Amino acid sequence: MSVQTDDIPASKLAQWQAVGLILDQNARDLQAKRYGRLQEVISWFKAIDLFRRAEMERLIERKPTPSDKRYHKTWLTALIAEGERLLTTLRQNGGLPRNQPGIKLSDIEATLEELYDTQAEWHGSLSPECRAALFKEIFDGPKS
Amino acid sequence: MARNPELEAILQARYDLETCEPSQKTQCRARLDLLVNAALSKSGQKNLSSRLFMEITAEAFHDFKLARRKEERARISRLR
Repeated sequence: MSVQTDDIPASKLAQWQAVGLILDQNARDLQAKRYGRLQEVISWFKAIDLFRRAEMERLIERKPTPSDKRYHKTWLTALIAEGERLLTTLRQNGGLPRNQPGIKLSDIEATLEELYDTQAEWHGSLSPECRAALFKEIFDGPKS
Repeated sequence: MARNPELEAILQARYDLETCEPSQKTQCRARLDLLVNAALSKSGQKNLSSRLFMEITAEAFHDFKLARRKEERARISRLR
């Protein structure tokens, strides 16, 4: 899985590429049925952790480039798809067995919701003006 | 960064959800949903979805996360 970029050198995209490599590896492991269901879930959580680090360093700590936003949207969509697939498989197969990290099916559901929230946060359809107006309506304007 | 305390509580709950252990996700999500629904009810915006709420508060959340990151870095450099 790769994303076309043309505005920044590849060396600057190492964090995003790392997320892509992990997602690719997870997909290969899944296809080969190399590990059990719990390991698939744990791999998904680890990929999310890596994605969050890249998000912080590329989108929050600096002004994101169009390529950063493109990578973010691509990997986020892949993580959501993987989470949905995990949930479907687990529901069809009686859920997640008791496990040492204590992860439950509802934790996967909650994490998937978190990812959908992130999608709305970064790639939603509201204009900045509309966001600001609604923000003001809800909180009576930012008090700083 | 003085802001609406309700908003601060929501941003903290959202940050907690993103940074907690996988086994704590359900609990953190429930707390966030409770706070968001309360804020929407109080503002009379009951028709607004929770997801749209996340979009509306996106910039505030980015500022919040950046502030937490700076605090964390300062804490680590004090330890060194």
